[in-house]
Amino acid sequence: MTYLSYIANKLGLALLTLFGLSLIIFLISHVIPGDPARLELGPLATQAQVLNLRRELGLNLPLPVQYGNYLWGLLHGNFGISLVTQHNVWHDIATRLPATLELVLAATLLILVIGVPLGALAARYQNSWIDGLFRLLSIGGVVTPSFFAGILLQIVFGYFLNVLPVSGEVALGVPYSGHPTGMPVLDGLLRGNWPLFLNALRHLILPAVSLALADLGQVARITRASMIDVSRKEYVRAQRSYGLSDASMTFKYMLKPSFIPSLTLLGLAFASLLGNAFLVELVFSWPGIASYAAKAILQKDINAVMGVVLVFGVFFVVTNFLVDILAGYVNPRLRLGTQAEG
Amino acid sequence: MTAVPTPRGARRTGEHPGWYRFRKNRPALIGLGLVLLIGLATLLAPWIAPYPHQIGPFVNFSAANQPPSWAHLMGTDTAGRDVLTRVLFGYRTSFLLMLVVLGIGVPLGVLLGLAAGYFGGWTEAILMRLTDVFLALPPLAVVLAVTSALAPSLGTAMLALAALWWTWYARLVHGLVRSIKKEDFILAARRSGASTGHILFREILPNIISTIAVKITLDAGFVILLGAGLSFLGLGARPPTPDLGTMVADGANYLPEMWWEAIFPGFAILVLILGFNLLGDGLRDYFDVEVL
Amino acid sequence: MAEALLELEGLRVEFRGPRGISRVLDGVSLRVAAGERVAVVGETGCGKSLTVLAILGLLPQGARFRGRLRLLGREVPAAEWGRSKRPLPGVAMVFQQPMSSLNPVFTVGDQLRAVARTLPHLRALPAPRLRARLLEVLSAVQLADGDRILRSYPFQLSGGMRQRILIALALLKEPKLLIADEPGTALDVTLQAEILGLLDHLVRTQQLALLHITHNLGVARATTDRVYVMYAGSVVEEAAAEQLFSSPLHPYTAGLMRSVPRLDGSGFGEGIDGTLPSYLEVDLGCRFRQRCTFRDSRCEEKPELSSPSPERRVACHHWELVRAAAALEERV
Repeated sequence: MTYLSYIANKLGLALLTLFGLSLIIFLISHVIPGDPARLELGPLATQAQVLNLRRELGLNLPLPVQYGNYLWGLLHGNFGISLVTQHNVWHDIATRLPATLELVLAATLLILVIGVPLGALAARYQNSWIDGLFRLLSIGGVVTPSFFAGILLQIVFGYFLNVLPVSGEVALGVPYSGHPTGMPVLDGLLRGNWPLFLNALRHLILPAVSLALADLGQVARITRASMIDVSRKEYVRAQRSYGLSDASMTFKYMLKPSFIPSLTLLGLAFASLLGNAFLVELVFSWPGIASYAAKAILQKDINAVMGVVLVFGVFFVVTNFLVDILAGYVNPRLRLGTQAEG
Repeated sequence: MTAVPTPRGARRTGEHPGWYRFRKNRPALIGLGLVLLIGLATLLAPWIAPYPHQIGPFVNFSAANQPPSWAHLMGTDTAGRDVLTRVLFGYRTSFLLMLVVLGIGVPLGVLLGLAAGYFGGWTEAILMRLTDVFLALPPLAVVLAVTSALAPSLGTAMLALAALWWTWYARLVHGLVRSIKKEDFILAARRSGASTGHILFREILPNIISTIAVKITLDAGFVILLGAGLSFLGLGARPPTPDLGTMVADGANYLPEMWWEAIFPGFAILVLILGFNLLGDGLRDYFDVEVL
Repeated sequence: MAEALLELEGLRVEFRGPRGISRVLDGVSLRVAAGERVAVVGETGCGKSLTVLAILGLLPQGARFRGRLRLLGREVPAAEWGRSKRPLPGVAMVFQQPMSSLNPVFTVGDQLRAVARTLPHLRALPAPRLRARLLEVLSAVQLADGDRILRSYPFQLSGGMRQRILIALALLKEPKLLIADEPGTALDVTLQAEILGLLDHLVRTQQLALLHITHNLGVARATTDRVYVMYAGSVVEEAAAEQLFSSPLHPYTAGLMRSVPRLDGSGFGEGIDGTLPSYLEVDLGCRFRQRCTFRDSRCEEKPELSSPSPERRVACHHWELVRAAAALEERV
């Protein structure tokens, strides 16, 4: 098997998953709640009105046909109309997605640039006080619910020390147009708008840290364990004895095999990042998807909820696909199969 | 039927040194202590909680928002209810959620994993593809979808979580069974004509049960964590049923002045999850199994 | 005798543990001439592998060592061997766990190149010429299809092929002395014979010296010129291979030979009763005496290495008795 056929295989799985996801969402939104037409028109509408709408929405067609229509609509960006905002759901989501993305990306960055080296450091100084402190911090990160971590950080840094803002994405006094990416930190950086960049960055710190904490602890723990594991391997001893430099050993020949378990975990971590982003956004009044979804759930706006779920699902599937590709690159056994002879 | 010796005998010999080895692992012991202590307090809540009558639809605005004192160790909330009492009863909701979710998800996942790993072929292909698809669904999104399509309640949340949780066990057990079914003692059992049921439940299951137990312990904390997140979003137990996540969400509205209303329930969740995590890590080291 | 390539004198290695100091090597001296094939034999735990680790600079962190090492007549400072973690010039080690001594996530080519880049004579070589050199080394270890092998990951190759790659990694250095610790024991017997044959071939064609660590007397006899027998951290006997096997002078050597299963149908050997003594005990006498049938009061004093003939050394008070007994046994 070549790398290309490995990728094709994973792509097939990703498409299958997307198909499964759309089917599940279709079933949940079209079958469970009873009659969507009645739901949309309310209890006061006449039976004739309901029948009319049913025909209009294609609800009298057989289920497989309805599903086909639904899928066709999705592919054209038709997620239905939000009952609350009266906008196309896709439009609503698209305006709020960048804020959520910014938060999730910042957390991912924190996990990678702090979690992995922290784990390597703890492995290097195994069983010293650095290691002890590290373990305490990482288990603390893992067991603290992200929304509670957010609240604690708000109290300490927002209210008590009063050094960082506790809500919103950018202060009201800082003009921000939302272009080109809709992520103020990135836009500030791209346009050289330093006041915007700094202000947005200050707003981003607490939510990003609260969001990253749990998976940061988990990733750091795995990195530590696998670095220790790899450093005891026969091939590390052998390679050292050939006279390979310490730097190339640590950053190439030991890091790559150690990274495999962390990478698998990173894919899983992404699921919890997306979920936790919901909670953290609410704590910090972040103008992302969560507040939209929370409102939609309370008001039984089923199109909006399903749109959000679908976008999250797609996001998740795509990321996992990318992680698989990366894992295949790092671990030749994955992409080449195991046809060892002895 | 011929009794076939299994490697499990080796682990059974000497319960006593085993306990000694576990006892040496201080974090695991702390974890066990936390879980037992909280479990006991939860069980005895009606008798040890200071104001057990306040868990229902109770209001006493004259006693609202009192900071921690000897009368109310964790203060009172906006409705004048004792926070400590509600925390103790809130644990009941957490434990209930955990028990129901794992009680449905684990047996289901273990059965499917056993079937997929042992029978192979089409059974395996279909079951594991299904598992892959389910694992690729973002958990919170599915729970959101289900709870909003039905009605947000504790029951719905538990149902939705259980519907997702079996996949982890299916995958874990599938991998374990695939590697163990090539072992000599399984082949020997097959040769000697043991029934499939006997092989699955008497030969294979006892050998993987410790790994499953470790996974359950580690998972208990995560289920509670996720459950707390759901109730924080307002998708958990309906008021006035005490629920730790809901208490944190309500209390967060009165920060920083009435800090005790969010902080104590938050720490209550944290400590329980910590207990399960330390215990699970300890068990993992003890049985020397690999569980993600 | 040819010029001495490597001379180790009075190597002493100690570990400080919770129960005191254990002296694991006590005055080990070895000599390998250019182009010579030398074996060190002894049972597991006798210190033969530790001796090699000291020469290679790979002693574990807590080890303390003393002794002198000369390479090509030049004294090697203590900082450059023992625990130096740096390989000696001209000496290369062949690792013996073909399944675990190669990095699983890098190609064979990458790993060969990484080693080549640490070597002065290959460092500056342009890529195509380095590649040609790598293919040359691969064919020297009798691996055909070098192109494919350079592109392969270890798990795609068989155990025998991996063992050959480990030899190629050692040959890259163009060493004068090759050290092999139990070569091929991780492989099955046929493959092991192939690997031993390959090593022998390399020694002959490339004028290498070979220091061969083994617990297998048959292997030592078949593939080496001279043999050192080690017991409990000391060399107890040293002789040309043929001499040693025709007339062992140390009771331990004699016992080892008797414990080899016989192919003439007279069954298994007798073996030696007892086990290695603890390294923790301070012992002023001969360390073999508890297991020795020739033991008497003189054995309470440690025997020095004596020279019954110019090329032989033995550390036993009773070597004449041992020789006489062996001769008697032969006649019966």
